[in-house]
Amino acid sequence: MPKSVSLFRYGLLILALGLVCEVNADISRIHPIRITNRAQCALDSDKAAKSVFAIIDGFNAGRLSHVLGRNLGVDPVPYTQEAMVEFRLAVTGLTLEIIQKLLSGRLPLLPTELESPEAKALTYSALAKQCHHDPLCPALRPYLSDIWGASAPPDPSLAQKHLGVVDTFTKDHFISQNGVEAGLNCSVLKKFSPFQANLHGTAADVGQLENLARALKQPEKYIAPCFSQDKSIDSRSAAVQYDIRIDQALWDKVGFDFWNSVKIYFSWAWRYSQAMPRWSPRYYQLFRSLDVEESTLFVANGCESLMPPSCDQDRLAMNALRELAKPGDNLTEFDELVPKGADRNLVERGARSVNNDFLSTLGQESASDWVKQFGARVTEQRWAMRNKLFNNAHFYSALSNVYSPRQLADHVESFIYRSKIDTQFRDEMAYLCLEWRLSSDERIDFLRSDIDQLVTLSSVMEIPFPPGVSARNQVAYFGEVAQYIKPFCERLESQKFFNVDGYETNWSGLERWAKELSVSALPKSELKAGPMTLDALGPFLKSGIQKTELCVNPIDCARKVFKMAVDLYGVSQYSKALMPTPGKVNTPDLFNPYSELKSCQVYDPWHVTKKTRKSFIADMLNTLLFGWNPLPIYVDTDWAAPKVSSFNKLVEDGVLKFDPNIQQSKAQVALLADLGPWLGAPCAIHIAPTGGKSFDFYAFNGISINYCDSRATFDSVSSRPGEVVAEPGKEASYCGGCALNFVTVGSAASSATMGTFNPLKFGVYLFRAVYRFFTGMSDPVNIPKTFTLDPVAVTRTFDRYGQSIPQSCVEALGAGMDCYQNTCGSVAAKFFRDKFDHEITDLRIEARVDAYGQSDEKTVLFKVPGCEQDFGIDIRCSGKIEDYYVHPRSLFTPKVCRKNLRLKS
Amino acid sequence: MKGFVWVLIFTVLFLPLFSFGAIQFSQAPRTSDYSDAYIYENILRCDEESSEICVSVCVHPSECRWTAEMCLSCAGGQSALLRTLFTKLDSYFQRTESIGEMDLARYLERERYVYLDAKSAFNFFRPWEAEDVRANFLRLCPSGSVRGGLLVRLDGRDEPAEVDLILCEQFDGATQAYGLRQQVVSEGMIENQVNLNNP
Repeated sequence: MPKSVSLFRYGLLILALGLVCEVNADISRIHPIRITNRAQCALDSDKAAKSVFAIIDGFNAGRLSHVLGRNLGVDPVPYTQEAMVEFRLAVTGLTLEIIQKLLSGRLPLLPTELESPEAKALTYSALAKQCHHDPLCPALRPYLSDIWGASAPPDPSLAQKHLGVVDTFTKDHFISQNGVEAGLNCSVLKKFSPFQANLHGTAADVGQLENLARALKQPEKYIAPCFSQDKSIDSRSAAVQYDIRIDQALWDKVGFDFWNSVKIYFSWAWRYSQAMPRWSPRYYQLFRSLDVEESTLFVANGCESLMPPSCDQDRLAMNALRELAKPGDNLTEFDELVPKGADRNLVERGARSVNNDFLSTLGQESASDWVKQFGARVTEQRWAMRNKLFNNAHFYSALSNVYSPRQLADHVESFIYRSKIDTQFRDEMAYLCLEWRLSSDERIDFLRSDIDQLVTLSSVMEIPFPPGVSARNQVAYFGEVAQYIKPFCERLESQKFFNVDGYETNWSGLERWAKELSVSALPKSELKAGPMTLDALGPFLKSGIQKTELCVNPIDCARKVFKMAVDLYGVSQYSKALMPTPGKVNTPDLFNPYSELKSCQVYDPWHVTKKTRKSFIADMLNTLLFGWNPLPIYVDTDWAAPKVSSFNKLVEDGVLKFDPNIQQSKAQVALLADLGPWLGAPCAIHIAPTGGKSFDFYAFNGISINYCDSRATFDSVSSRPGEVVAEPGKEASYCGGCALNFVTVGSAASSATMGTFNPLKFGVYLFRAVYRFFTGMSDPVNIPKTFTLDPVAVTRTFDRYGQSIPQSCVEALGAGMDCYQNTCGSVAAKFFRDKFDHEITDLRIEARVDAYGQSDEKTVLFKVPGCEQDFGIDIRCSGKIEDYYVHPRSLFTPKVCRKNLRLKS
Repeated sequence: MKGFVWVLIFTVLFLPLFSFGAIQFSQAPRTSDYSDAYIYENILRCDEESSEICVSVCVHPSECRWTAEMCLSCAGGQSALLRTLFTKLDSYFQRTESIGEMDLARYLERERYVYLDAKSAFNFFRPWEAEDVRANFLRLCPSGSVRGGLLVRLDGRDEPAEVDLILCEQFDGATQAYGLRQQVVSEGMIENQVNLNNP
């Protein structure tokens, strides 16, 4: 019977290895939660993640140990359970050890960009280039082994001394230099919870803060120590969360290299290091042969990334895994027989919601259930892809062994003379020729150039095939068959073989992939049936000793050759996501669709900010030109977002890169006649040269009635501004509208003061400019916005206010501060807590009036347990959280309490 | 049935005469001597006549044991070669000449390889000891064999690369090795029917 490995053992192991990390669910160690809106989320994709999930599926480990039990002649079930748990613990422990060694400076950072000036590790750069970054490559393995050996001493300086012998490392390759303090927390998720609030909301609010505070009261319901073997944690599927504490400026420099290094060391150490017996004492010998990259994903917990964003097929394909993590069994691009391609999906899907739990992590009973569902869908698609590849490769192998492309084409041609030409036969020929056209015709080029391009892609070249088969020879065989079939099909068409009286092709026997491409042209009744072929003169091709029939006749074989090439194209689109290469753990941006939307320039997170600023300048110009005189003119200017219409594709270093074709942001101008000052009625007419300009002259909430000609719809009474948006197009739009609100009435009232200078109208124009600016800048979605929740501060506030969070505290708590009487108190308390390791029991704010009579200077006094006298600090704060200044020298610490002061490290 | 009984009688009576110089190769799991870890162990047994073979491999005259090599990403569905071996073996390989015991021992000693049979831990494609897998392995062995297993050479990356030998277990437990030739077995409609050209 297998013996269980205790949590105590892992605790000892962590101590023995000198790993400084928290593996307990201690709330003081739960890291600040960074909540972002859409625009900030897009910007964050350029940053390296500090909080990461390891998504672990123990299925393969379970199967391996099941067979072990069978081979030992015992009940395999306990072995299966034990091995799956040990697999989770091994992935967790090895990752933890690597992260800790990197953070403490015992392992060097391995650069992502070998050409960058920072990549001074000369031996590594040369070997990594030679091995195409594959850590399992024979040339790189001894090097990594030397590095790992040198990292053994718990003292980083000693480790670095040993590492200096291995390569030309500089201090830039080590994180713990110059007294940098870094920390790590690790926990296994029982359930996704408010601890992952960043995935479930885009702004701080009362409900969310209270949920977080309640969760913090009983963290054991949601997380467990990362080596927990709690029965409530599923043995097969798990999500482990790693949180890194490190100086942000340093992290911005090294973050991506850090994760690149983690991935390289992980894949290597899993197979070759002496660390594995420590983390998996029972199964490490068997686990070394596991395809660990297939069973593990590293995913950023939030909008940050683990690899620098890029707009290429490999990255887009990997990120398409997100579709499989979504709830439900909806069809995804993985189900398409001829995928449109990740680039087209990107443009078609466009902007969407983010951080609204779109992956439904909260919808599952446990985190394991979520991982299990996601894992099951990935596995299903992976095997579907593999089956397709394997069956086609087997077919190719058998076919090419017997028939050359020329011979096959000759058989196709002679088949027509040996057959009875009836309706069914004509159908078969029609299928062949349509499938040839769709897959092979270079002139219409539905797929041909994409298929030809496959052999230049490294993701395709890395696909494993049975002996004697490669993507290159399959594509070459296809190309030749297509070339020989071409004149045959063209002759049939020119001889009007299909234009016979009384004959109409029944397309129901067409291959499914061809139906998918011609779905709009085929009658619905003919879309459902499966492919059909004439069962005549066969079999044409048999395989193996058992003589399994592969083709009924030559036409069948030729059609299967076309299908083989189309399938290979289909697989190539997502092979990087579903078939990870050994040595390269996948790191999809699962929770941030804006990673690829931003890197491919489909979404510009700064567009609304820039547009609002430009509009403000235009409004001010309007005010200066027309705001003071009776001219009823207002030039309404807007800037449409730049739009990606398509991508240029270019293969670079074996990777298909996408270069966006962008329709640049253009100013949309509309001339507006403000009838208010003339007619005394709150109405305006708007004329725009293009139909895309929205009619939002009355930029305020109120009762309005609008009409646009280009859209020819009558907008009913509305209470929201900018409601009427003409359809984009080239035609001009003519809009008219009346509204009742402060500005329109003010504008209309200004008719009473028609003269050379109209102060009321000037005031209204000026007010509108300012109002539109502030409204624009407070766009909750498209103006970058971040909230940082400090779990300790949230809990303290929750307790202080009787198990609730007042609305007035949301701003301070959203800025990562405690909540006191006002912002000054929150800012001062944060300053104090950052400096001293003492609680604050009471806080008073006293106003100070300086020599100029300024009153936003305050003195904040703190009561600290164990000290009779108050601590104090001077601070200038206007009331806004981002607009304060602490006078550091004004800090007053009572003399009698100084000797007991605990400073924060 | 009658023929089978005669073969059995013949085997039991004359087995000792024919088993001189025989070696046995097998693979089995157990826990390591040095830790609690499970390992798969390759086992080579020699009788008196063949003891020098075992001596040449591990100094011990009757039995050699050594831990099976790590096989990169073999425990999973990734390897197309392993899938071919476990599901389509009959379409890709043909048995060639017999290999002497000493040559086999030399191979076992010097090469880096993985042993695969119907009980293999790396069979992620068919059920454990599936009848069709057993039959496919056995089909490459001469008649009279009771079990077949393959030795697959590992490349520099520790991935399975070349199928080198088939080990056929005889009635008496002795192992006879044969070479293998990669040979796609397929037939078309043309004159010679079977075309055994290498791809």
